[in-house]
Amino acid sequence: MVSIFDRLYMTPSKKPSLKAIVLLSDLTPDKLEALYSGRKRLKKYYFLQYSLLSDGLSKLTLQKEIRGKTVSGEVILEPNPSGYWLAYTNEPGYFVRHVVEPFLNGLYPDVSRVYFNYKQILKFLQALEIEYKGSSVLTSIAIKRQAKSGVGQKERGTLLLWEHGAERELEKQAERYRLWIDHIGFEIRDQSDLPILFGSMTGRGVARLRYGSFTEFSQKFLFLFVATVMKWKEFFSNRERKLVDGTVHLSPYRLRYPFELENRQIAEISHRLENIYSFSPIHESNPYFAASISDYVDGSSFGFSVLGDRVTITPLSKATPFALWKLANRIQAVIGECEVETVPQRLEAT
Amino acid sequence: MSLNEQKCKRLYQKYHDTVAVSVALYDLFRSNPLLGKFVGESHQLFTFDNEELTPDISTSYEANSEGLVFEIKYSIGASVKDVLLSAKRYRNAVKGWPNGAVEHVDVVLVCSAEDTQIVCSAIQELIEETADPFFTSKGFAVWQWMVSSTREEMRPEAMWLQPVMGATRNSSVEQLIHSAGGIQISEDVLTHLRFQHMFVRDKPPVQFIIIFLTHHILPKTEKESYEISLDTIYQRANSFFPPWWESAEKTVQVKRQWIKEALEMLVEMKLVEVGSKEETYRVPSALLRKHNALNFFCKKLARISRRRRRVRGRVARIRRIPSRMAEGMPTLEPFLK
Repeated sequence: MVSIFDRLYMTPSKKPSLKAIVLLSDLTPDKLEALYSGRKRLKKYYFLQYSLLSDGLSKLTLQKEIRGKTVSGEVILEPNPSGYWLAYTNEPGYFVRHVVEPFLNGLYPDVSRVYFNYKQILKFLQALEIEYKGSSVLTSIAIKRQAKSGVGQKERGTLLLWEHGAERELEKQAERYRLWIDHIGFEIRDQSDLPILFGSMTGRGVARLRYGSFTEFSQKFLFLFVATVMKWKEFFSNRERKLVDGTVHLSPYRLRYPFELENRQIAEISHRLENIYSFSPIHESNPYFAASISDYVDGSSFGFSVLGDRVTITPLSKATPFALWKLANRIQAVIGECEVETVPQRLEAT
Repeated sequence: MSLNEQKCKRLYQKYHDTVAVSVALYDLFRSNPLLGKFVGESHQLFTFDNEELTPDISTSYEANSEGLVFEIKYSIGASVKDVLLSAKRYRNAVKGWPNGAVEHVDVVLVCSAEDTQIVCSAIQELIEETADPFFTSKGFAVWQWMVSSTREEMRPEAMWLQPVMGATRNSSVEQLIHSAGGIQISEDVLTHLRFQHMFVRDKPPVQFIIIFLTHHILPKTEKESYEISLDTIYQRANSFFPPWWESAEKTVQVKRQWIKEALEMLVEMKLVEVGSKEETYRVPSALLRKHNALNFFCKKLARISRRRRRVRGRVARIRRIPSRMAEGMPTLEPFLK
């Protein structure tokens, strides 16, 4: 696989980019067929063929009927004992967006996607810059934006910010708008300005290689990307409510916005979360909102509150990192991307 | 009393807020040592005759020489006078404090702003009926909790503790409670500390336990349904009760009974079936997938309440003799002549 992709992407020609999707799972890919068989919805819409390759790799052939046409393609899975999988494919973007990604979403909570907001991606790019000794790696940022007091759909289209001050411009945009990252383009060149890697990445853990050595992409770019994923998985881990020697330990985290959340945005969150989770509001008045939430697919449950510029999530009886990461993403998908941080501990109950 | 959907939701929210107030009082004394020392939740205190008393929250001040206890009430109805007389007993809880005994114990009854009218009227009646000096003395106070926004616009809503009547002898507490607006409950309580526990000593409404069980306790599986015993549910739920309830056999029975009643209500709603063994239940996974669980269960409860009312028939109306005669009504004087 390495030599084929190395040859393929070192040749400048028009071809679909190589996509690498980072997934979180403690299972091995040979369980995929069983996971697929146990999900009625996946069985109804997708055809799956699984085969084991050499070197611990597996091949998935996925097929789906979309508007009367059969869309199919292949994906190679590389599991890692640290609890993640890398899914590679060089099929067209349509197949990835409409077949692979929805199929993987359907495997939750056994296989979970990762979610990054623009702040997290920018931090990753900074780490990449350090790895490539100060080279500027960012070329473009595609964002969707909406006025802070707006409701309903995001503005149509995508705003592209190009290099030379794109990050500063992004900060300015964040002050005026609620933002959602679409993708970030990068170009890494050596000191003689010769290209090393060209590609892009999305907030859903999909990295695309347009040009460059697969070995370089895999060993440096994906290595750093996975390290960032694992760091955030760690952030969301071990947060469930614990009772130790009669003392309750809570580990809440919060989403902090640069603006006060308004009633309309709160109503929008409430409406969206109600469609995804089992949800019971405690306070629905403006602008203090509190609710009890259960992720009935995964079994995790949380306390949830919105007050001022903060959304606080308090993991309760069971709280997997996958469920907590997903919830943080669902909220940001509604009211915009923001800082995700641990609530400082102040007091413990006895 | 019939339960409509709105009232069902309101009671659910009110119980949640009562739990938050209990956490808030704990937080208040832990973060402001100048107010006094937090002694415990349902801490065992004793009268001179060694009668055991356990107010909801006990605090001491003046170098542990004085006691101040709080009794937090989720709902006050017909039993309001019993609640008041029970609160009165706490003034005798002078033993069992960190320094052994205290000189005197002040009592604060904390209730929702919705209930303060009932409490004040009952106190008035008790004063008239018994001429009991306790309710007018320094050492007994009623506080209310409420959620409201501050006067400045665009400021977040806050939960407040406010004085209603009476006063305690803890001057620091009095100064704070009589400051503008009352005591503002810490934001940390509203955002996350309120989820530390799910219960106070007052019995929660059945919808509260049902939602608690479906959100946090009943396991989610891929099976269509599963059988689970009351004991297993109780074990899973136990950590959500405040820890001081752990040991006493009587309280274990009380908690178990609350859960049992909720499960029996789910059986009556035909959402859960009785299991194959004694005290087991068959839970369908679909029950745990209700999107707006509060709406769903309150609709069901309101329907059951209406059905029960139809079966019982209407409560007979007792026509009362008006104490004052309406204007224009003929008098009996011509007849008596």
